[in-house]
Amino acid sequence: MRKGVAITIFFVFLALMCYLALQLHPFGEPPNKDMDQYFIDHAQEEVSANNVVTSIVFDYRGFDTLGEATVLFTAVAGTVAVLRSFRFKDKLAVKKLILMDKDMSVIVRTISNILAPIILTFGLYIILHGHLTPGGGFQGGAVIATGIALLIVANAPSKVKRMISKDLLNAAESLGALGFLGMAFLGLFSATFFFNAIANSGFLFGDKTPLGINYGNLNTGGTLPYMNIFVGIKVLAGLGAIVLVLYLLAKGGEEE
Amino acid sequence: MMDISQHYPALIIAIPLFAAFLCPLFKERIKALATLAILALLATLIFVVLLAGQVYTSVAPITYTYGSSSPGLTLPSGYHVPVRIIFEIDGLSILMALITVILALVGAIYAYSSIKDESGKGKFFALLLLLTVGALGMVLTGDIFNLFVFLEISSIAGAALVAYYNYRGEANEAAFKYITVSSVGGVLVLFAIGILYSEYDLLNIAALGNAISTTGLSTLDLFALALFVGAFAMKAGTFPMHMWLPDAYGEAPAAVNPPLIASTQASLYALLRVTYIMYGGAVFNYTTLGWVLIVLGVFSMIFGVLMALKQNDIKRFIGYTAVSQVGYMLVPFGVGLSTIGDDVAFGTYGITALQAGLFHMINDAIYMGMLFMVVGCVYHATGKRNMEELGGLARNMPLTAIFFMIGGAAVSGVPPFNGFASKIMIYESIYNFHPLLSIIAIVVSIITLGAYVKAFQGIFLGPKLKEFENVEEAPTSMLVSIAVLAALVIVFGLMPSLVVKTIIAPAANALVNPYGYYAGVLGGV
Amino acid sequence: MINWEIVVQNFPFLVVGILMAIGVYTVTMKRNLIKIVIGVEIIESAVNLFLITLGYVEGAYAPIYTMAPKAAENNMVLPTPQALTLTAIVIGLAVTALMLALAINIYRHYGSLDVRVARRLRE
Repeated sequence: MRKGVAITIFFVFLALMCYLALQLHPFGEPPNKDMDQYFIDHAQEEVSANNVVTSIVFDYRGFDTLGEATVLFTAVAGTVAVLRSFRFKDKLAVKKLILMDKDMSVIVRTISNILAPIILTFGLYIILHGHLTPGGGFQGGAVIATGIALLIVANAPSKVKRMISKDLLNAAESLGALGFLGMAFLGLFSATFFFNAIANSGFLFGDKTPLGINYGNLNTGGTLPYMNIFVGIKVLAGLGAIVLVLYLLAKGGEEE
Repeated sequence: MMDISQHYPALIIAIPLFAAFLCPLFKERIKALATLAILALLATLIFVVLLAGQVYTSVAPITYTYGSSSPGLTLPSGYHVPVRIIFEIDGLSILMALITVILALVGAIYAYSSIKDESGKGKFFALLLLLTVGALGMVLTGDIFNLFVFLEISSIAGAALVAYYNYRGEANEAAFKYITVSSVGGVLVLFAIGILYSEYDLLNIAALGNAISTTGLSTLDLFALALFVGAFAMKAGTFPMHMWLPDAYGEAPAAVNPPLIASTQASLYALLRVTYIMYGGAVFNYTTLGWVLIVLGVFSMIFGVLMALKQNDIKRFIGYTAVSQVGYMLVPFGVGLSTIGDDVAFGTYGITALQAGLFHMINDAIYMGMLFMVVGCVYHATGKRNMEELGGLARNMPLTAIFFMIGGAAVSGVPPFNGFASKIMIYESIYNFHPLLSIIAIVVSIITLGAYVKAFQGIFLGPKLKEFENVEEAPTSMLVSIAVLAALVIVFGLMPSLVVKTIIAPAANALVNPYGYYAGVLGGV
Repeated sequence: MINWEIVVQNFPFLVVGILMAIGVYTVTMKRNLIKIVIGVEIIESAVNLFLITLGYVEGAYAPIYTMAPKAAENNMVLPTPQALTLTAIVIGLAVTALMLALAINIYRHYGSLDVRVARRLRE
């Protein structure tokens, strides 16, 4: 009987979704393009960035990115707060997790020590060139966090606790978030919040971009490279903190 | 120097966000954390009040465009659609913002005493401020995707705070239920945003409303409307998807309950914004949608109060009465929606129904926040949550007992408190629509009164129990925060017409004026 | 009755619909907490896929001007859905992290991941 209900719900939902899919516009021919045409036409002169998607993410709809950085901050704070250690007040049997303080084998550790700097460089390249090629703060930060996760998993918990301090990750995350908010404040003095005050000025990263297809000049972008760097720091610290907390919990360590 | 009076909307979001990013650096120093949080929220309150002054004295909604060269420049030069994110603040937005900031401030003051002995205090205050930012962003924004992002911020922060007492298994379970319901609701909203984007290539609420009203409703628009109504009703705790509400409200720390209530009401605000304003310009059959809201509201009212009678845990008891009160908000909104097409009916009782529903939203937030904090005091003092194990506390905690009485009377709609003022408006306006609804509402109020009398007797009256010999009155900061809300309960109850005229009527007028909202962004279309 | 041409052309949207149905089935009908988390993930992925497929313009190029081919001058896909999907992916990650942390805590308390066992909060 329960199976019957489940199958009916599934098929009703499926039928609704298929009906919807057939009502939508034909794939590949969007009916309206007003807003996007503006972005494609004006991104290079107003934001001085070659990558239109990054200019939308950090300039035209930069406030959504502030919200997204806040969501990541909230998730990290929430996960660390929920997983903090507590005393059991209940009498239910609880599975204790075993403490295993061993490194992984020599092969794993050597390869991870070689790969980690390569991953770090690749991630930094993606962060810094966000306004020229596909990439940006979030993507590059996630790549670097993968490198950190590799280092964490390959080594023993006691060594990890010595080398990577939670306070540093905490401080780095707050620094990244505050830096991003500070860059948004820069615009407040002349125009509105999030105004790209550095684009097309003479400052660092303030060159003009030639219109149309070009080879890409790193020194352009206005506030975009700064925001990319701050968001990259924030993402790598946040994701690193989540991986660290889950790893130490699985290996039986105690947190603050 | 810059003219700060233009930038209030940005500062209202930026200041609590700034404080929230600083909080985890303070570790466990409760005094520094509480001072930072309270100062940030006080500053936000001042800015909200100043912004309210601007909104009430201007004809059009106040707009703030992020990233353009001046705050009012919503359309780039010569273009006909807005391309940036725009905050659009009218009477309804500022009303919700006021109540959110007041509740958050009260919660922060309460938290100073209530979580002194817990670990992870830095993260607690950061999450509390982030919950407030999420709710504030939701009510001030004029962009539908921005609404989704802030909805997710408040959901995640709320779920993490519900599980704050992570040594209780029930708290983790309640938080898991809450985050599952919230995230499924969130992705349904995102799906609906995608459908609307595919048709119109617009993300701004005013521009979308204008586009829908000019091109008429298509099947896709109706599909998106159904998804929006379903998802926002799920997040606001309507029957039949209300199961998470008593659990989440019951397990959250008492300091978190007021901002959590504010964020649930922000979801109800989002429902109103989408139905009345975004789809308000188009012509469709309002009566069906109105009846859907009315039926859901009636079921919430009845089901909530009946389940409340069975409860022994004091916080879950109040949580179920909260579900019942959500019904009291939905029924007048449904009545108002049904009468939009019909001018005569609208003039007589439709607008009063809208005002009654909005007034009840505000009052419900205030007295529910107060009640949760009062029972939080009882839990803090005695360590027990079960009504059967408590008793005779009126001698040790007289002030707490009086506040519980005030709150219980307000919920049940007893004069001269604010519950009575809004409920009488509700009874009058829905009586004109269909008398049976009014009768059901009155009967449920009477049952609520009975339930609260029984609860009061169980907790405060009766013989003094031996284990509670040395129980003291609640700490000062807790009493201060409860007293602030109690003062509002009494003032709103004694001067309802003043309150309705100054802050409720502009909000109700903003709801029925979708074209004014569109013109705020599109400039006199 | 069914216009088969539209079915073939709108195939990505049909895939989105199927994934959504699978995800909703998993969230409502499965008993293991981790499977519920996976169900939420499937729904999120379906909606992300939906957003990306909205922006496609047939025969157009990526909206980047650095060293793009000459034919990409006025012929770019819509960039906004990509920005929206970026935000949605990060939000999905955040929700998954928190849900997994809560599932771990429930396991520490009740010793089991079954939804029926972790049901102390009944009426």
